[in-house]
Amino acid sequence: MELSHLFTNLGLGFSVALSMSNLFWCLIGAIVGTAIGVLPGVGPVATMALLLPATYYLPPEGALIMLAGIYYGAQYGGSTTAVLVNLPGESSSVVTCLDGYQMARQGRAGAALAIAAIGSFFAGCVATMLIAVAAPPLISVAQQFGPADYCSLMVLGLITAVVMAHGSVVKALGMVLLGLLLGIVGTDVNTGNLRYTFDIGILFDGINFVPIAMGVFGINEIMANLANPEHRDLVSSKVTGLMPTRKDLRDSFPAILRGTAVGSALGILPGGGAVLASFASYTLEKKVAKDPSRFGKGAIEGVAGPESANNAAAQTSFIPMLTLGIPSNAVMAMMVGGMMIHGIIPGPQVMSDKPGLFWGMIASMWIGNLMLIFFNLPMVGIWVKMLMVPYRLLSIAILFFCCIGVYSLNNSADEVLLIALFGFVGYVFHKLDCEAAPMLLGFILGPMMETYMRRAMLLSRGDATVFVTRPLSLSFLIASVALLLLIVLPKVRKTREVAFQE
Amino acid sequence: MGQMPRPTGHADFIKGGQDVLCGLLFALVGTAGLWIGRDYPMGTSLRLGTGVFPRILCWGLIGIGGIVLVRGLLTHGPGLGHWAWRPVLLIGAAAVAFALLIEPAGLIAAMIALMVLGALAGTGHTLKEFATFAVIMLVMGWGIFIWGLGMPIKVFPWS
Repeated sequence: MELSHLFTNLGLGFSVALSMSNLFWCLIGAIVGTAIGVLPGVGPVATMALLLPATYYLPPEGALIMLAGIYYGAQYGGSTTAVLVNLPGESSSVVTCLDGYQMARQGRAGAALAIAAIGSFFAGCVATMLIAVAAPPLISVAQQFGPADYCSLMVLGLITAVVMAHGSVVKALGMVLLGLLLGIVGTDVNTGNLRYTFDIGILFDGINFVPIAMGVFGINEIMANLANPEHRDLVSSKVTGLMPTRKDLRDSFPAILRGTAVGSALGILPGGGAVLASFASYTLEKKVAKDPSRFGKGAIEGVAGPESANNAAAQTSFIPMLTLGIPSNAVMAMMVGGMMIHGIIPGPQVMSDKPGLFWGMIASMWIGNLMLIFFNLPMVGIWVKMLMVPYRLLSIAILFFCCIGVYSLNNSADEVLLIALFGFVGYVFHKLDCEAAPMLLGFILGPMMETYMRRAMLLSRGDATVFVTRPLSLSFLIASVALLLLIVLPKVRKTREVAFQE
Repeated sequence: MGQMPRPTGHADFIKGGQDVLCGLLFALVGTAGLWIGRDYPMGTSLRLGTGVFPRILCWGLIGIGGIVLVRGLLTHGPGLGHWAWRPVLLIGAAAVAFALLIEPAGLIAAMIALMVLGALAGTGHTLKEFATFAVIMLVMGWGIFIWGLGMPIKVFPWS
C-alpha cells in the first residue's frame, strides 16, 4: 500500500478519534480499563460484558473506542498491582509479579512502574502502526475468500484457539463444540425453524451474548474468587522515584524492543493475545540475558519485556477481528458483540463501508496509549487506595452491576436468571479444568460458520468436496489438522506444558 | 503406594474423577442435543436443512466426551477436588433473587436481597461495614439507574 494512503487514512482516523466526544469515551475506556486492570479478580472480558448494554446508547465509534480502551487500559493497570501487591491484577501480568514485586521490595517500585508504562506505550505505538499498515493488504486478501474458505478459516481459528488454551486440548475442543451448539440456539435464520428453544420465549432470538459472557466470566469469577480468598500484601502505599535511572533505561530498551516484537507476533495468532505474549517474552528475556540468575530477584528486563509484550499483543489481536471478522480471543469476541449491538457485521467490508469507524478506532488506540502514560503514573495513589476495598464488598458491587446491566439490556428479568445459570455452568467447567474462552469463541462463530457452510454448499451445487478442492480452503483445513497432530506429538506437548507452567 | 492422593469417596476404578465427569457431561449434552433435534430436517445437500449443523456438533461432542471419559477411566488424573458450594449457590441465589424481585418489588428490595445473599457468600463481613456499604450502594444504585438513566423500574414495592 502506498504511504500517502496510509497517511490519508490515519488522518481520517485522527479526525474521528480527536472529536470531543470520542476523546471522552477513549478516556473513560482507558481509565475504566486501568481500574479493573488494577483490581485482581475483575477481568477485561467481564467488564466489557458489563458495559456492552451501556454502549447501546453511544454512537458506534464511541462505543468501540471505549471498549478497545478497556482492553489496553487493563494491560497498564495490571502491572501496577503486580508490582505493588505481588498479585496479578490481570492474568497477563502474572510474570510481572516475579521481578516487579522484587523491585518494589528493593524500593524501586517507581522505576518498575515507569518502565512498565514506557514499555507499554512504546509497544502500543508500534502495534497501532502495525495494524494501520497490515490491515488494508490483509483485507484485500480476505475479499477474495469464498464461503468455503471462510468456513475453513473459522475451523482453523477455532483449532488454533484450542491449541493455545491452557490445559487439555481435547477438553478445549469439547468447549468449542459446546459453544457452537449454544450459538445456534434460537430461530434458524435460513429456514425459520426453531432449534433448542424448549418453547421458552427469550430463547427464540437465540441466547443473548451479554448474559452468557457475564455469566461465564463475571459471575463465575466472583464464585471462584470467593472460594479462594487471596491475601494482599501492599508493599508500600507511597511510591517514590518514578523516574527510572539512565542505567534502567539502557537495560530495558532492548527488552522493550524484543517484547514488542514477540507480543505483536503472538497477538495476531488466534487464541494468543496478551497472556501468552507476556509469558513468551519473559522466557525470551531469561534466555538472552547474560546472567539469567538475576531474574526473579528484581531484573528490570523481566518487567520491561512482558509488559511491552502484553500491550503489543492486546493491540495486534485486533487485526484478525478487523480484517477477517474473526475474533481470536474472548476479548475480541466482546468487540464483535459490541459491533453487532450497533448492527455492524465484522469482516473485511467494515474498512470500506465504515472507514471513519475503522480508522477512528485505530487512531484512538494511539491516543489512548498517550493518555494512559500521562494519567496512569500520577494516579498510582488512587489505584492503591482502590486496592484497599476488600473483595468481599467488591464482589457484591460487581454482582449488582452485572444483574442490573443485563436487566437494562431488554428490561428482561429472565435474562438475569440466565446469568445465574451460566455463572453456575461456568463454575462447573472451571472445576472440571475446562476454559470458558473457547466456548465463547464457538458461541460467536457458530451462526456465522453455519451460514458460510450453507452458502458454500449452495454455490457448489451440493458438492461437499468444495471444502477440499478450493486451494485456500484446503490449506486452512490442512493447517488445522497439522496443528492438532502437532499437539498430540509428545515433544511439542512437553514444551507446551513447560510454557504454561510457572 | 506411589499413587496420586485423591479425595475419598471415589470408586476404585475411577482414576481421574475430573475427566470422568467432564466426559460424561460432554457426551450427555451431545446425546440430548441429538435427541431433542431428532426431528430437525436434514434438507438436501444443495440446501442444508436445520438439522445438519447441530448433528455434526452433537456427534463431535459425543466423540470428545468419549475420549475424555476413557482417559479419565484409564489414566490417573486430578479428582473432583473441593467444590465451594456455599459461595456458588449463594451468589447464584443472589442473582436469582434480584431477577425475581426487580419487577414485582422494585429496585430497593431487589438490591437488599442481592446484597444480603451476596454478603452471606463471602466471609469476614462485619455488620457496621456491611451496613455502610449497603447504604452507599443503595444511594448509588438509585442515583445511577433511576435518577440518572431513568430506567423504568419502580423503586419501592408500593411506588
